[in-house]
Amino acid sequence: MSDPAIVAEGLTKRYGDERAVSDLSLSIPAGSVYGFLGPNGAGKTTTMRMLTTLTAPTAGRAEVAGVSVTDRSALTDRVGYLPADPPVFDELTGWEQLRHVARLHGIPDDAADGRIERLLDRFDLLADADRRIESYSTGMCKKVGVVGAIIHEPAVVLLDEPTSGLDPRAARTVRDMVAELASGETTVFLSTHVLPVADELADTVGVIDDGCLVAEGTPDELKARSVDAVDGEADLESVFMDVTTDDRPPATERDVRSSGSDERPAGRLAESP
Amino acid sequence: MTEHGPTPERATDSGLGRPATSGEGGTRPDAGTALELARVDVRRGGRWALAQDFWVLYGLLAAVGFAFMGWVSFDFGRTAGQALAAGESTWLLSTGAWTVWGVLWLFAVGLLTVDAVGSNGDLDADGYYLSVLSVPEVAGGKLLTSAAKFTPFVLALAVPGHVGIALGAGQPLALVGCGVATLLTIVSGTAVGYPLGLALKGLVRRSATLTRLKPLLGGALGVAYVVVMFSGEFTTVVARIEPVLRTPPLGWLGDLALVTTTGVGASPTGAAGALVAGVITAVTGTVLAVPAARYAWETDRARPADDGEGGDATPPADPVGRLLGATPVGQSTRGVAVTTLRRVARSPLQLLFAAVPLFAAIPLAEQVLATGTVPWYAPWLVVWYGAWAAGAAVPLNPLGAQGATLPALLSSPASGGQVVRGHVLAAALPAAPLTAAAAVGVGVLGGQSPPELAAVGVAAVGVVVAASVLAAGVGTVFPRFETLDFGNAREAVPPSKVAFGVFGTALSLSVVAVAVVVDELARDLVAVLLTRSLPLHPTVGPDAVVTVGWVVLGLAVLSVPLAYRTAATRLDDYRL
Repeated sequence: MSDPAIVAEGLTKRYGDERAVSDLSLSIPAGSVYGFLGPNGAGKTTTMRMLTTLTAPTAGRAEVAGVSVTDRSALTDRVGYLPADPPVFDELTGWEQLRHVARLHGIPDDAADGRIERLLDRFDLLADADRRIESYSTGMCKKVGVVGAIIHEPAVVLLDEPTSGLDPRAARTVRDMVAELASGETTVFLSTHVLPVADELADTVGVIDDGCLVAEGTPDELKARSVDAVDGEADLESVFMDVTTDDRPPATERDVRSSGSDERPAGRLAESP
Repeated sequence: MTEHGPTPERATDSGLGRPATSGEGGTRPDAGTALELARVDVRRGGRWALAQDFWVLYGLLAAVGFAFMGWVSFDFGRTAGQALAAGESTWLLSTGAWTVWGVLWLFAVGLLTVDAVGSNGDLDADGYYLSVLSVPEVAGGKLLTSAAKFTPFVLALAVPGHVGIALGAGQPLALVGCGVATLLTIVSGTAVGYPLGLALKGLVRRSATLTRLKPLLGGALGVAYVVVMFSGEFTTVVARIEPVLRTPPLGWLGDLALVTTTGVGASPTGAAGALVAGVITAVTGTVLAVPAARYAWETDRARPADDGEGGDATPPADPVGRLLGATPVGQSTRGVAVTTLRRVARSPLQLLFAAVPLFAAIPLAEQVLATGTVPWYAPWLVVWYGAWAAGAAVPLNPLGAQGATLPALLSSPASGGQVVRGHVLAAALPAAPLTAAAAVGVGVLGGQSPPELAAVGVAAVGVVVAASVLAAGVGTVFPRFETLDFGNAREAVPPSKVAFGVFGTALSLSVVAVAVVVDELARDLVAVLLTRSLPLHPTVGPDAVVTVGWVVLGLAVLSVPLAYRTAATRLDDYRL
């Protein structure tokens, strides 16, 4: 197994008395896809912001691509981040937006233009690249955001709902791109509500609920251990519904019941891979 | 589009309470539905305004302005009423009231026309409203909304004067004519202005050229309005059209307003004419509002041709980027500068905030044009404004202006220093040469000596650059992230009020310091002002003023690197 690209130990974020993320521990190998699931407000975005230095943890530590998340200047070149709200300026054209991002990363214009053209073509945006983003659909904005997140070829890419608002063809392109990134050296941290996407792409899936990681494992492991699994028909939706329900039993009890072991860390259905 | 109304059941569900009417072909518009639409529209408008500090402030200032005008109007009216009681007459009761009512009616029509052409003539949820309600109902609702919105303006301007007349003359009945005239002005003005605006909106929507020119035409109209109102030319315009204002049918409004005031000599025939003409105008306008609304709302909008249509795109032209690329400016700094300039050029709404002080300069410009002499301080005023505008327009809110892209900026390798330099470049590149040229030009017109002109020119460039750095420092300490909604999807993120205040104060002190150090007249003036205004009135000589000026200048100079360091650190360390 290769060295982990993302490591977190006891990562916690509190806003006053409210705990957004609580004691989160992760170990994600380089070159893998980590599917990060959870209900709205569960702490997914806060976690991603902590891993990209945008939010300072209240407690715990984390390293991304070997760099502490407290060292922004060292980390920025190694991560790409797509927030749920595409980070684009309406006043710019798609190409201008991406050239801006490339310049922020210090990429010379000539090299940037080559990458921009290739990626825009891949996302079927090349014909619209000199139109202003204010005329783009939600999906087109999202595509520009995705390209902006990977244009500097980072070691770790964190994508927050990259397929929301995309039509099936564009969503397919994003899924292919994620798979292609992971087939190389890139690690992808993928937050999504589209469970089949996580099922298809993720090597490991983590489910966060109310700030706590309540399940983690490969999609097959989670499905097999889901309490709703009957005759192998369980899917990630069953897992999700099971581990995020309000009336679920305490995590430790569930762990014991699903694995038959009392050695697993609290709050997890499965060991980290 | 096919018109149809909701079934009674659906209407009941929606809360619009439409009663059962005749079949589809003969569905009658329901006044209750229009009233409900207007009620919701007015409530939404109020909440929209109250939720935004800028509009609350604007509303307060407008209220103060209207209160002042109302007091002036009341005072005029009371004087006229007292004169009437004494058997005399005044301008107001002999001719003025007729002119005022004519102006008021035209003012209401003009404002309502502009209102309808703009975003207030749009339907927020047209796909919903036009599919479940008839156009007459929706148009009726919009008419009522407009009438409700403009009623306070008419009331504030018209009623205090007549209250003054009634009190001064001891004739309470005088208010009856005023009340009827006010109502007629609101109803007929709305019925003319709003449909006219809708028709113009329909015309604009059908023309790609007019659609493209609309912001420009709107801006020109706004500037013309401000110039006329602030330059004192309004009275000239009114004097030009006075004969029309006092001639029927507009002149009848004055008769109606004063017909219940004994001793003025208002024509009862004119008053009756006003009533008849007003009712006919109101009914006709309301009926015509329906086809005008259809013309505006039921059309495929003409769209200006996209630049990029046809074939794959190529790398965009980037003259500023190329220019900066030939300098030692780093790639990230260049990216921030180019993008910031592009955004300002393509969405100049934020320049509005920087344009506000220009209104105050209109009287000065008029004085210069009238007297042919330029005051000694005019070039320094230009320097102050150029520096203030450069700072306020671009770098005064570097965090908030990023909008949704802030996470991308913060998680990029661009350092805080590079981002600050990019913003300062974006501000200074256009503002420094423009300010220097304008200040020196004004100085030349004022007959200043070459050394003075050189000082002004050099100071202009230096102050603009320094002010931009200062603005970045202040803006990162006092950022604002809330967008200001101008309606019709037009938004801007202005700097915070605290940032405006701190930046404006610091800049003003700095420019005054430069002025007293460089200019003898300035230091004498400041010395006199300080002597008069300081507690115990100590004698402050020009030499002391220069000393203080140097101290302030020293602090100002020190504040620039401090502001730069603060801004860079804040950007480097900023967390969401």
